[in-house]
Amino acid sequence: MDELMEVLRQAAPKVDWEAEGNLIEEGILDSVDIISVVSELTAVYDIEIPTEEMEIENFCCARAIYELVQRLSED
Amino acid sequence: MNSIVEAVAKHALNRPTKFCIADGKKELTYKEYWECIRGYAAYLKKIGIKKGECVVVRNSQNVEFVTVGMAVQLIGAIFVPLEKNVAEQRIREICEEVEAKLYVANREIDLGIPFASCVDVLTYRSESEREEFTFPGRMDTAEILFTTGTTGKSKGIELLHKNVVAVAENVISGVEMKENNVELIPVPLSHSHGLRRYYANLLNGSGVVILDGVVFVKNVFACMKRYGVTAIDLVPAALSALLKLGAEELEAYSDKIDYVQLGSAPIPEQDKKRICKILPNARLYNFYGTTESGCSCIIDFNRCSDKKNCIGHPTCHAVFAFFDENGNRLESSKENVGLLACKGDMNMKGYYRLPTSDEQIFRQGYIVTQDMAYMDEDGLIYLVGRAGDVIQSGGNKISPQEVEEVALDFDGVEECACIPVENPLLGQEPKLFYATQSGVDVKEEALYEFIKSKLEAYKVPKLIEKIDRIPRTYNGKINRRQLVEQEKGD
Repeated sequence: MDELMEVLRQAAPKVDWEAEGNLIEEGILDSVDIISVVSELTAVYDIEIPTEEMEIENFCCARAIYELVQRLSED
Repeated sequence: MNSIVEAVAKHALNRPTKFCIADGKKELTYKEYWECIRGYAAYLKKIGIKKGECVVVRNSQNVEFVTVGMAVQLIGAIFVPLEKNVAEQRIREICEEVEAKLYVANREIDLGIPFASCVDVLTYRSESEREEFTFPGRMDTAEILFTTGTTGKSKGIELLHKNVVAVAENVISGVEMKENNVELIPVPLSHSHGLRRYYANLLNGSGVVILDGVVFVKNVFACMKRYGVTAIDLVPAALSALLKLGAEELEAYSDKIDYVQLGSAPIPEQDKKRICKILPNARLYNFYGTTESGCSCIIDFNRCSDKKNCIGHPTCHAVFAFFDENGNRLESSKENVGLLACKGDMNMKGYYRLPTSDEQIFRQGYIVTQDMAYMDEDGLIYLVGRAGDVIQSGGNKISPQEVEEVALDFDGVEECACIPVENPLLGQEPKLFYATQSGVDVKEEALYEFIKSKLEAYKVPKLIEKIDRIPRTYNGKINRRQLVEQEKGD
Protein backbone atom coordinates (compact mmCIF):
# COMPACT_ATOMS: atom_id res chain seq x y z
CA MET A 1 0.00 0.00 0.00
CA ASP A 2 2.85 2.40 0.85
CA GLU A 3 4.40 1.87 -2.56
CA LEU A 4 1.07 2.53 -4.27
CA MET A 5 0.60 5.73 -2.26
CA GLU A 6 3.94 6.94 -3.58
CA VAL A 7 2.87 6.12 -7.16
CA LEU A 8 -0.43 7.96 -6.67
CA ARG A 9 1.32 11.01 -5.23
CA GLN A 10 3.63 10.97 -8.22
CA ALA A 11 0.71 10.74 -10.67
CA ALA A 12 -1.50 13.38 -9.04
CA PRO A 13 0.53 15.41 -6.52
CA LYS A 14 -2.24 17.89 -5.71
CA VAL A 15 -4.68 15.19 -4.56
CA ASP A 16 -4.93 14.44 -0.85
CA TRP A 17 -4.76 10.66 -1.12
CA GLU A 18 -5.20 10.23 2.64
CA ALA A 19 -8.59 11.99 2.52
CA GLU A 20 -11.57 9.98 3.61
CA GLY A 21 -14.75 9.69 1.55
CA ASN A 22 -15.30 9.44 -2.19
CA LEU A 23 -12.57 11.45 -3.96
CA ILE A 24 -14.58 11.58 -7.19
CA GLU A 25 -17.94 12.59 -5.78
CA GLU A 26 -16.22 15.24 -3.66
CA GLY A 27 -14.56 16.62 -6.78
CA ILE A 28 -11.03 16.05 -5.40
CA LEU A 29 -10.00 13.71 -8.20
CA ASP A 30 -10.79 15.01 -11.70
CA SER A 31 -10.62 13.32 -15.09
CA VAL A 32 -7.08 14.57 -15.81
CA ASP A 33 -5.89 13.06 -12.50
CA ILE A 34 -7.56 9.75 -13.31
CA ILE A 35 -5.90 9.54 -16.72
CA SER A 36 -2.58 10.37 -15.09
CA VAL A 37 -3.15 7.65 -12.47
CA VAL A 38 -4.07 5.10 -15.15
CA SER A 39 -0.89 5.93 -17.13
CA GLU A 40 1.27 5.63 -14.03
CA LEU A 41 -0.27 2.35 -12.86
CA THR A 42 0.09 0.88 -16.35
CA ALA A 43 3.77 1.81 -16.48
CA VAL A 44 4.80 0.97 -12.90
CA TYR A 45 2.88 -2.29 -12.42
CA ASP A 46 2.92 -3.42 -16.05
CA ILE A 47 -0.84 -3.96 -16.09
CA GLU A 48 -3.58 -3.12 -18.57
CA ILE A 49 -6.74 -1.65 -17.11
CA PRO A 50 -9.59 -3.05 -19.21
CA THR A 51 -12.66 -0.97 -20.05
CA GLU A 52 -14.89 -2.96 -17.69
CA GLU A 53 -12.69 -1.92 -14.77
CA MET A 54 -12.92 1.77 -15.67
CA GLU A 55 -15.70 2.62 -13.23
CA ILE A 56 -16.08 5.02 -10.34
CA GLU A 57 -15.99 2.32 -7.65
CA ASN A 58 -12.43 1.36 -8.65
CA PHE A 59 -11.05 4.90 -8.40
CA CYS A 60 -13.02 6.48 -5.56
CA CYS A 61 -10.16 6.22 -3.01
CA ALA A 62 -6.59 4.93 -2.64
CA ARG A 63 -7.82 1.65 -1.10
CA ALA A 64 -10.08 0.94 -4.11
CA ILE A 65 -7.21 1.61 -6.51
CA TYR A 66 -4.98 -0.67 -4.42
CA GLU A 67 -7.53 -3.50 -4.67
CA LEU A 68 -7.85 -2.93 -8.42
CA VAL A 69 -4.08 -3.20 -8.90
CA GLN A 70 -3.94 -6.34 -6.73
CA ARG A 71 -6.71 -7.95 -8.75
CA LEU A 72 -5.20 -7.08 -12.13
CA SER A 73 -1.70 -8.14 -11.04
CA GLU A 74 -3.03 -11.58 -10.08
CA ASP A 75 -4.72 -12.10 -13.48
CA MET B 1 -39.75 28.60 -33.17
CA ASN B 2 -39.16 31.36 -30.62
CA SER B 3 -37.46 29.36 -27.89
CA ILE B 4 -36.11 25.91 -27.08
CA VAL B 5 -38.66 25.41 -24.32
CA GLU B 6 -41.45 26.05 -26.83
CA ALA B 7 -39.93 23.39 -29.09
CA VAL B 8 -39.95 20.89 -26.21
CA ALA B 9 -43.65 21.62 -25.61
CA LYS B 10 -44.38 21.11 -29.31
CA HIS B 11 -42.54 17.79 -29.42
CA ALA B 12 -44.30 16.68 -26.21
CA LEU B 13 -47.60 17.28 -27.96
CA ASN B 14 -46.70 15.71 -31.30
CA ARG B 15 -44.40 12.88 -30.17
CA PRO B 16 -45.17 12.35 -26.48
CA THR B 17 -43.58 8.91 -26.12
CA LYS B 18 -40.38 9.74 -27.97
CA PHE B 19 -37.18 9.42 -25.93
CA CYS B 20 -35.98 12.87 -24.91
CA ILE B 21 -33.34 12.83 -22.21
CA ALA B 22 -31.39 10.53 -19.86
CA ASP B 23 -28.45 10.85 -17.52
CA GLY B 24 -27.49 7.27 -16.69
CA LYS B 25 -29.88 7.16 -13.73
CA LYS B 26 -33.12 8.61 -15.12
CA GLU B 27 -34.72 8.72 -18.55
CA LEU B 28 -37.65 10.78 -19.77
CA THR B 29 -39.81 10.96 -22.89
CA TYR B 30 -40.70 14.36 -24.35
CA LYS B 31 -44.06 14.30 -22.56
CA GLU B 32 -42.44 13.41 -19.24
CA TYR B 33 -39.73 16.03 -19.63
CA TRP B 34 -42.27 18.70 -20.51
CA GLU B 35 -44.33 17.79 -17.41
CA CYS B 36 -41.21 18.08 -15.25
CA ILE B 37 -40.40 21.49 -16.76
CA ARG B 38 -43.98 22.72 -16.25
CA GLY B 39 -44.02 21.39 -12.71
CA TYR B 40 -40.84 23.15 -11.71
CA ALA B 41 -41.90 26.32 -13.54
CA ALA B 42 -45.09 26.30 -11.45
CA TYR B 43 -42.97 26.00 -8.31
CA LEU B 44 -40.76 28.91 -9.39
CA LYS B 45 -43.84 31.06 -9.94
CA LYS B 46 -45.24 30.02 -6.58
CA ILE B 47 -42.13 31.16 -4.74
CA GLY B 48 -42.29 34.50 -6.52
CA ILE B 49 -39.76 34.34 -9.36
CA LYS B 50 -40.78 36.79 -12.06
CA LYS B 51 -40.02 37.44 -15.72
CA GLY B 52 -36.61 39.04 -16.27
CA GLU B 53 -35.24 37.95 -12.90
CA CYS B 54 -32.08 35.87 -12.69
CA VAL B 55 -31.90 32.36 -11.26
CA VAL B 56 -28.37 31.10 -10.64
CA VAL B 57 -28.09 27.32 -11.01
CA ARG B 58 -25.02 25.27 -10.13
CA ASN B 59 -24.43 22.44 -12.58
CA SER B 60 -25.14 18.96 -11.28
CA GLN B 61 -24.71 17.52 -14.81
CA ASN B 62 -27.98 15.61 -14.76
CA VAL B 63 -31.62 15.83 -15.83
CA GLU B 64 -32.50 17.94 -12.78
CA PHE B 65 -30.06 20.69 -13.79
CA VAL B 66 -31.38 21.06 -17.33
CA THR B 67 -34.99 20.83 -16.10
CA VAL B 68 -34.37 23.84 -13.87
CA GLY B 69 -32.83 25.72 -16.81
CA MET B 70 -35.86 25.09 -19.02
CA ALA B 71 -38.34 25.90 -16.23
CA VAL B 72 -36.58 29.19 -15.54
CA GLN B 73 -36.84 30.09 -19.23
CA LEU B 74 -40.49 28.98 -19.44
CA ILE B 75 -41.54 31.62 -16.90
CA GLY B 76 -39.51 34.26 -18.73
CA ALA B 77 -36.80 34.41 -16.08
CA ILE B 78 -33.07 34.27 -16.92
CA PHE B 79 -31.03 31.09 -16.54
CA VAL B 80 -27.52 31.68 -15.16
CA PRO B 81 -25.65 28.36 -15.08
CA LEU B 82 -22.52 27.90 -13.03
CA GLU B 83 -19.93 25.19 -13.39
CA LYS B 84 -19.94 22.24 -11.02
CA ASN B 85 -16.69 23.02 -9.22
CA VAL B 86 -17.13 26.77 -9.01
CA ALA B 87 -15.57 28.43 -5.97
CA GLU B 88 -17.93 29.78 -3.32
CA GLN B 89 -16.53 33.28 -3.74
CA ARG B 90 -17.31 33.19 -7.45
CA ILE B 91 -20.91 32.10 -6.76
CA ARG B 92 -21.25 35.05 -4.44
CA GLU B 93 -19.84 37.50 -7.01
CA ILE B 94 -22.08 36.26 -9.82
CA CYS B 95 -25.20 36.25 -7.65
CA GLU B 96 -24.46 39.86 -6.71
CA GLU B 97 -23.63 40.88 -10.27
CA VAL B 98 -26.91 39.59 -11.71
CA GLU B 99 -28.92 40.37 -8.55
CA ALA B 100 -30.04 36.74 -8.43
CA LYS B 101 -33.43 36.05 -6.86
CA LEU B 102 -32.79 32.34 -6.32
CA TYR B 103 -29.81 29.98 -6.05
CA VAL B 104 -30.41 26.35 -7.07
CA ALA B 105 -27.81 23.68 -6.27
CA ASN B 106 -27.33 20.32 -4.61
CA ARG B 107 -26.00 21.97 -1.46
CA GLU B 108 -27.00 25.22 0.22
CA ILE B 109 -24.53 27.97 1.01
CA ASP B 110 -25.26 31.23 2.75
CA LEU B 111 -25.69 33.82 0.00
CA GLY B 112 -28.41 35.94 1.54
CA ILE B 113 -30.91 34.95 -1.20
CA PRO B 114 -33.48 32.13 -1.30
CA PHE B 115 -32.14 28.64 -2.01
CA ALA B 116 -33.82 25.67 -3.72
CA SER B 117 -32.44 22.16 -3.80
CA CYS B 118 -31.63 20.70 -7.20
CA VAL B 119 -32.04 17.18 -5.82
CA ASP B 120 -35.85 16.96 -5.76
CA VAL B 121 -36.60 18.95 -8.93
CA LEU B 122 -38.39 16.10 -10.71
CA THR B 123 -40.80 15.54 -7.81
CA TYR B 124 -42.64 18.74 -8.82
CA ARG B 125 -43.82 17.04 -12.01
CA SER B 126 -47.39 16.37 -10.87
CA GLU B 127 -48.02 19.95 -9.76
CA SER B 128 -48.02 21.34 -13.26
CA GLU B 129 -51.48 20.63 -14.63
CA ARG B 130 -53.33 23.70 -13.40
CA GLU B 131 -50.72 26.27 -14.44
CA GLU B 132 -50.88 28.11 -17.77
CA PHE B 133 -47.71 29.50 -19.29
CA THR B 134 -46.93 32.04 -21.98
CA PHE B 135 -43.82 31.09 -23.91
CA PRO B 136 -40.95 33.60 -23.85
CA GLY B 137 -40.51 35.88 -26.87
CA ARG B 138 -37.60 35.87 -29.29
CA MET B 139 -36.23 39.11 -27.89
CA ASP B 140 -36.48 38.09 -24.24
CA THR B 141 -33.24 37.24 -22.46
CA ALA B 142 -32.83 33.46 -22.12
CA GLU B 143 -29.55 33.10 -20.29
CA ILE B 144 -26.35 34.72 -19.11
CA LEU B 145 -23.22 32.62 -19.56
CA PHE B 146 -20.13 33.57 -17.60
CA THR B 147 -16.89 32.85 -19.42
CA THR B 148 -14.04 31.13 -17.62
CA GLY B 149 -11.96 34.25 -18.03
CA THR B 150 -8.42 33.12 -18.83
CA THR B 151 -7.58 36.53 -20.22
CA GLY B 152 -8.92 38.76 -17.51
CA LYS B 153 -12.10 39.26 -15.52
CA SER B 154 -14.89 37.01 -16.76
CA LYS B 155 -17.93 38.63 -18.32
CA GLY B 156 -21.58 37.67 -18.41
CA ILE B 157 -22.66 36.99 -21.98
CA GLU B 158 -26.33 37.85 -22.39
CA LEU B 159 -28.18 35.72 -24.93
CA LEU B 160 -31.73 36.24 -26.16
CA HIS B 161 -34.00 33.33 -27.07
CA LYS B 162 -33.43 34.41 -30.69
CA ASN B 163 -29.67 33.85 -30.24
CA VAL B 164 -30.09 30.49 -28.51
CA VAL B 165 -32.39 29.19 -31.27
CA ALA B 166 -30.06 30.47 -34.01
CA VAL B 167 -27.04 28.73 -32.46
CA ALA B 168 -29.07 25.51 -32.20
CA GLU B 169 -30.01 25.85 -35.88
CA ASN B 170 -26.34 26.39 -36.75
CA VAL B 171 -25.61 23.07 -35.04
CA ILE B 172 -28.54 21.17 -36.58
CA SER B 173 -27.81 22.25 -40.15
CA GLY B 174 -24.02 22.07 -39.66
CA VAL B 175 -24.00 18.42 -38.58
CA GLU B 176 -27.00 17.48 -40.78
CA MET B 177 -28.72 16.17 -37.66
CA LYS B 178 -31.36 13.53 -38.29
CA GLU B 179 -34.58 13.53 -36.33
CA ASN B 180 -33.83 10.10 -34.84
CA ASN B 181 -30.45 11.32 -33.59
CA VAL B 182 -29.47 10.34 -30.05
CA GLU B 183 -26.51 12.38 -28.88
CA LEU B 184 -24.15 11.59 -26.02
CA ILE B 185 -23.14 14.80 -24.24
CA PRO B 186 -20.45 14.02 -21.64
CA VAL B 187 -19.19 17.61 -21.41
CA PRO B 188 -20.28 20.28 -18.88
CA LEU B 189 -23.77 21.62 -19.50
CA SER B 190 -22.93 24.82 -17.67
CA HIS B 191 -20.70 25.91 -20.54
CA SER B 192 -21.81 27.07 -23.94
CA HIS B 193 -20.39 24.06 -25.77
CA GLY B 194 -22.38 21.30 -24.05
CA LEU B 195 -25.44 23.45 -23.45
CA ARG B 196 -25.76 24.36 -27.13
CA ARG B 197 -25.62 20.75 -28.32
CA TYR B 198 -28.32 19.89 -25.80
CA TYR B 199 -30.46 22.79 -27.11
CA ALA B 200 -29.89 21.72 -30.73
CA ASN B 201 -31.06 18.18 -30.10
CA LEU B 202 -34.14 19.38 -28.24
CA LEU B 203 -35.02 21.84 -30.99
CA ASN B 204 -34.67 19.00 -33.46
CA GLY B 205 -36.83 16.62 -31.40
CA SER B 206 -33.89 14.27 -30.91
CA GLY B 207 -32.60 12.41 -27.83
CA VAL B 208 -29.87 13.47 -25.41
CA VAL B 209 -27.81 11.33 -23.04
CA ILE B 210 -26.00 13.40 -20.43
CA LEU B 211 -22.92 11.98 -18.72
CA ASP B 212 -20.36 13.47 -16.37
CA GLY B 213 -17.19 12.92 -18.41
CA VAL B 214 -15.84 9.94 -20.34
CA VAL B 215 -13.12 8.49 -18.10
CA PHE B 216 -15.40 5.85 -16.64
CA VAL B 217 -15.72 4.25 -20.03
CA LYS B 218 -17.63 1.19 -18.83
CA ASN B 219 -20.62 3.40 -18.05
CA VAL B 220 -20.13 5.45 -21.24
CA PHE B 221 -20.47 2.43 -23.52
CA ALA B 222 -23.25 0.90 -21.43
CA CYS B 223 -25.28 4.11 -21.90
CA MET B 224 -24.43 4.29 -25.60
CA LYS B 225 -25.80 0.79 -26.13
CA ARG B 226 -28.81 1.27 -23.88
CA TYR B 227 -30.06 4.43 -25.60
CA GLY B 228 -28.81 3.67 -29.10
CA VAL B 229 -26.46 6.66 -29.28
CA THR B 230 -25.80 7.81 -32.87
CA ALA B 231 -23.72 10.92 -32.22
CA ILE B 232 -21.15 12.11 -29.66
CA ASP B 233 -20.32 15.61 -28.57
CA LEU B 234 -16.82 16.11 -27.20
CA VAL B 235 -14.24 18.72 -26.33
CA PRO B 236 -10.64 17.85 -27.32
CA ALA B 237 -9.65 16.85 -23.77
CA ALA B 238 -12.58 14.40 -23.61
CA LEU B 239 -11.66 13.01 -27.04
CA SER B 240 -8.10 12.38 -25.81
CA ALA B 241 -9.43 10.60 -22.73
CA LEU B 242 -11.84 8.47 -24.76
CA LEU B 243 -9.09 7.47 -27.20
CA LYS B 244 -6.78 6.60 -24.34
CA LEU B 245 -9.25 4.57 -22.32
CA GLY B 246 -11.84 3.22 -24.73
CA ALA B 247 -10.53 3.24 -28.32
CA GLU B 248 -11.26 -0.45 -28.94
CA GLU B 249 -14.84 -0.21 -27.71
CA LEU B 250 -15.38 2.91 -29.79
CA GLU B 251 -14.12 1.10 -32.86
CA ALA B 252 -16.45 -1.82 -32.14
CA TYR B 253 -19.34 0.68 -31.97
CA SER B 254 -18.23 2.57 -35.09
CA ASP B 255 -20.98 1.39 -37.48
CA LYS B 256 -23.63 3.01 -35.26
CA ILE B 257 -22.01 6.44 -35.10
CA ASP B 258 -23.40 8.97 -37.56
CA TYR B 259 -21.16 11.82 -36.43
CA VAL B 260 -18.91 13.14 -33.69
CA GLN B 261 -18.84 16.86 -33.10
CA LEU B 262 -16.03 18.66 -31.37
CA GLY B 263 -15.37 22.26 -30.51
CA SER B 264 -14.21 24.80 -27.95
CA ALA B 265 -10.47 24.28 -28.60
CA PRO B 266 -8.15 23.02 -31.34
CA ILE B 267 -7.86 19.22 -31.59
CA PRO B 268 -4.34 17.76 -31.35
CA GLU B 269 -3.30 16.39 -34.76
CA GLN B 270 -2.55 12.89 -33.43
CA ASP B 271 -6.06 12.62 -31.96
CA LYS B 272 -7.58 13.80 -35.24
CA LYS B 273 -5.73 11.10 -37.16
CA ARG B 274 -6.69 8.43 -34.63
CA ILE B 275 -10.41 9.22 -34.56
CA CYS B 276 -10.49 9.32 -38.39
CA LYS B 277 -8.97 5.83 -38.39
CA ILE B 278 -11.33 4.46 -35.73
CA LEU B 279 -14.48 5.98 -37.28
CA PRO B 280 -13.71 5.99 -41.03
CA ASN B 281 -17.35 6.29 -42.11
CA ALA B 282 -18.56 8.84 -39.56
CA ARG B 283 -18.74 12.56 -40.13
CA LEU B 284 -16.22 14.16 -37.77
CA TYR B 285 -17.00 17.79 -37.22
CA ASN B 286 -15.04 20.52 -35.60
CA PHE B 287 -17.01 23.65 -34.78
CA TYR B 288 -15.51 27.07 -34.54
CA GLY B 289 -17.30 29.71 -32.52
CA THR B 290 -17.28 31.75 -29.36
CA THR B 291 -19.73 32.08 -26.49
CA GLU B 292 -20.50 35.53 -27.92
CA SER B 293 -21.17 34.21 -31.46
CA GLY B 294 -21.81 30.49 -31.30
CA CYS B 295 -21.10 27.66 -33.73
CA SER B 296 -20.42 29.96 -36.66
CA CYS B 297 -18.10 27.76 -38.73
CA ILE B 298 -17.83 24.02 -39.27
CA ILE B 299 -15.58 21.47 -40.95
CA ASP B 300 -15.85 17.70 -41.41
CA PHE B 301 -12.17 16.83 -40.90
CA ASN B 302 -12.77 13.23 -41.95
CA ARG B 303 -13.39 14.59 -45.45
CA CYS B 304 -11.06 17.63 -45.45
CA SER B 305 -8.04 16.32 -43.58
CA ASP B 306 -5.60 17.88 -46.05
CA LYS B 307 -6.52 21.49 -45.34
CA LYS B 308 -4.24 22.61 -42.54
CA ASN B 309 -5.66 25.24 -40.14
CA CYS B 310 -8.94 25.27 -42.07
CA ILE B 311 -12.05 25.74 -39.89
CA GLY B 312 -14.43 25.13 -42.78
CA HIS B 313 -17.37 27.13 -44.03
CA PRO B 314 -19.83 29.45 -42.25
CA THR B 315 -22.94 27.82 -40.74
CA CYS B 316 -26.49 28.79 -41.76
CA HIS B 317 -26.82 32.02 -39.71
CA ALA B 318 -23.19 33.17 -39.95
CA VAL B 319 -21.70 35.87 -42.19
CA PHE B 320 -17.98 36.55 -41.89
CA ALA B 321 -15.87 39.66 -42.46
CA PHE B 322 -12.27 40.59 -41.73
CA PHE B 323 -10.92 43.74 -40.08
CA ASP B 324 -7.44 45.20 -39.74
CA GLU B 325 -5.95 46.40 -36.45
CA ASN B 326 -7.38 49.89 -37.04
CA GLY B 327 -10.94 48.66 -37.44
CA ASN B 328 -11.12 48.86 -41.24
CA ARG B 329 -12.67 46.09 -43.34
CA LEU B 330 -10.19 44.23 -45.53
CA GLU B 331 -10.30 41.68 -48.33
CA SER B 332 -8.59 38.77 -46.69
CA SER B 333 -6.17 36.36 -48.34
CA LYS B 334 -3.40 34.04 -47.25
CA GLU B 335 -0.99 36.96 -47.53
CA ASN B 336 -3.36 39.49 -46.00
CA VAL B 337 -4.95 38.08 -42.86
CA GLY B 338 -7.31 40.02 -40.61
CA LEU B 339 -9.29 39.75 -37.40
CA LEU B 340 -12.17 37.35 -37.95
CA ALA B 341 -15.58 38.95 -37.37
CA CYS B 342 -19.01 37.36 -37.43
CA LYS B 343 -22.58 38.61 -37.93
CA GLY B 344 -25.87 36.77 -37.54
CA ASP B 345 -28.79 35.95 -35.24
CA MET B 346 -26.55 33.84 -33.02
CA ASN B 347 -24.60 36.92 -31.91
CA MET B 348 -25.16 37.77 -28.25
CA LYS B 349 -27.17 40.78 -27.17
CA GLY B 350 -24.07 42.01 -25.34
CA TYR B 351 -22.07 41.70 -22.16
CA TYR B 352 -24.42 41.90 -19.21
CA ARG B 353 -24.66 45.48 -17.99
CA LEU B 354 -21.73 46.61 -20.12
CA PRO B 355 -22.13 49.03 -23.03
CA THR B 356 -22.39 47.54 -26.53
CA SER B 357 -20.51 50.53 -27.93
CA ASP B 358 -17.15 48.85 -27.37
CA GLU B 359 -15.63 49.01 -30.84
CA GLN B 360 -12.99 46.47 -29.96
CA ILE B 361 -15.76 43.87 -29.99
CA PHE B 362 -18.75 45.28 -31.90
CA ARG B 363 -18.04 46.77 -35.30
CA GLN B 364 -20.53 47.44 -38.13
CA GLY B 365 -22.90 44.81 -36.70
CA TYR B 366 -20.14 42.22 -36.42
CA ILE B 367 -18.58 40.71 -33.33
CA VAL B 368 -14.84 40.94 -33.85
CA THR B 369 -12.69 38.14 -32.44
CA GLN B 370 -8.97 38.15 -31.72
CA ASP B 371 -8.49 35.28 -34.18
CA MET B 372 -6.31 36.10 -37.18
CA ALA B 373 -7.81 34.47 -40.25
CA TYR B 374 -8.51 34.62 -43.96
CA MET B 375 -11.00 33.22 -46.48
CA ASP B 376 -9.87 31.39 -49.61
CA GLU B 377 -11.45 31.54 -53.07
CA ASP B 378 -13.72 28.57 -52.19
CA GLY B 379 -15.17 30.37 -49.16
CA LEU B 380 -13.26 28.27 -46.64
CA ILE B 381 -11.90 30.03 -43.56
CA TYR B 382 -8.37 29.48 -42.22
CA LEU B 383 -7.11 30.43 -38.76
CA VAL B 384 -3.49 31.52 -38.45
CA GLY B 385 -3.28 32.44 -34.74
CA ARG B 386 -4.53 34.71 -31.97
CA ALA B 387 -3.77 38.42 -32.20
CA GLY B 388 -2.95 38.58 -28.48
CA ASP B 389 -0.73 35.50 -28.55
CA VAL B 390 1.62 36.70 -31.25
CA ILE B 391 5.19 36.93 -29.98
CA GLN B 392 6.98 40.14 -31.02
CA SER B 393 10.64 39.26 -31.31
CA GLY B 394 13.11 41.81 -32.70
CA GLY B 395 10.57 43.17 -35.18
CA ASN B 396 9.38 39.70 -36.22
CA LYS B 397 6.00 38.23 -35.43
CA ILE B 398 5.91 34.61 -34.24
CA SER B 399 2.74 32.56 -34.01
CA PRO B 400 3.08 30.27 -30.96
CA GLN B 401 0.69 27.78 -32.58
CA GLU B 402 3.06 27.35 -35.51
CA VAL B 403 5.97 26.53 -33.17
CA GLU B 404 3.79 24.11 -31.17
CA GLU B 405 2.58 22.28 -34.26
CA VAL B 406 6.16 21.59 -35.31
CA ALA B 407 7.28 20.54 -31.80
CA LEU B 408 4.35 18.10 -31.57
CA ASP B 409 5.69 16.23 -34.58
CA PHE B 410 8.85 15.38 -32.63
CA ASP B 411 8.86 11.84 -31.23
CA GLY B 412 8.09 11.78 -27.52
CA VAL B 413 6.55 15.25 -27.22
CA GLU B 414 3.01 14.63 -26.01
CA GLU B 415 1.93 18.23 -25.54
CA CYS B 416 3.59 21.61 -25.60
CA ALA B 417 3.03 25.35 -25.27
CA CYS B 418 4.98 28.29 -26.62
CA ILE B 419 4.89 31.62 -24.80
CA PRO B 420 6.71 34.96 -25.00
CA VAL B 421 9.40 35.71 -22.42
CA GLU B 422 11.28 38.94 -22.01
CA ASN B 423 14.55 39.39 -23.85
CA PRO B 424 16.65 42.54 -23.27
CA LEU B 425 17.78 42.66 -26.88
CA LEU B 426 14.74 41.44 -28.82
CA GLY B 427 11.94 42.60 -26.54
CA GLN B 428 10.46 39.13 -26.51
CA GLU B 429 11.60 35.66 -27.49
CA PRO B 430 9.70 32.36 -27.68
CA LYS B 431 10.01 29.77 -24.95
CA LEU B 432 8.73 26.24 -25.42
CA PHE B 433 7.35 24.12 -22.60
CA TYR B 434 6.78 20.46 -23.33
CA ALA B 435 5.51 17.36 -21.57
CA THR B 436 6.12 13.72 -22.41
CA GLN B 437 4.38 10.48 -21.59
CA SER B 438 5.50 8.87 -18.35
CA GLY B 439 8.97 7.33 -18.75
CA VAL B 440 9.68 8.88 -22.16
CA ASP B 441 12.85 10.90 -22.47
CA VAL B 442 13.26 13.70 -25.01
CA LYS B 443 16.69 15.05 -25.92
CA GLU B 444 16.20 18.80 -25.91
CA GLU B 445 19.13 19.47 -28.28
CA ALA B 446 17.53 17.12 -30.79
CA LEU B 447 14.14 18.79 -30.34
CA TYR B 448 15.78 22.19 -30.92
CA GLU B 449 17.52 20.95 -34.08
CA PHE B 450 14.25 19.43 -35.31
CA ILE B 451 12.34 22.72 -34.91
CA LYS B 452 15.26 24.58 -36.50
CA SER B 453 15.06 22.32 -39.54
CA LYS B 454 11.38 23.21 -40.03
CA LEU B 455 11.06 26.91 -39.17
CA GLU B 456 12.76 30.22 -39.87
CA ALA B 457 15.60 30.89 -37.39
CA TYR B 458 13.83 33.73 -35.53
CA LYS B 459 10.90 31.42 -34.72
CA VAL B 460 13.00 28.69 -33.13
CA PRO B 461 12.79 28.73 -29.31
CA LYS B 462 16.20 28.66 -27.67
CA LEU B 463 14.56 28.24 -24.30
CA ILE B 464 13.05 24.80 -23.90
CA GLU B 465 11.79 23.39 -20.62
CA LYS B 466 10.16 20.13 -19.65
CA ILE B 467 7.17 20.29 -17.30
CA ASP B 468 4.85 17.56 -15.98
CA ARG B 469 1.71 18.83 -17.65
CA ILE B 470 0.75 21.74 -19.87
CA PRO B 471 -1.80 23.85 -17.96
CA ARG B 472 -5.15 23.97 -19.71
CA THR B 473 -8.50 25.63 -19.27
CA TYR B 474 -11.56 23.48 -18.54
CA ASN B 475 -12.16 22.86 -22.24
CA GLY B 476 -8.62 21.91 -23.10
CA LYS B 477 -7.20 25.18 -24.40
CA ILE B 478 -3.60 25.88 -23.47
CA ASN B 479 -3.54 28.26 -20.52
CA ARG B 480 -0.69 30.47 -21.76
CA ARG B 481 -1.45 33.14 -19.22
CA GLN B 482 -0.65 30.76 -16.36
CA LEU B 483 2.68 29.86 -17.95
CA VAL B 484 3.53 33.52 -18.57
CA GLU B 485 2.77 34.35 -14.94
CA GLN B 486 4.77 31.37 -13.70
CA GLU B 487 7.67 32.48 -15.84
CA LYS B 488 7.53 36.03 -14.45
CA GLY B 489 7.40 34.58 -10.92
CA ASP B 490 10.53 32.52 -11.48
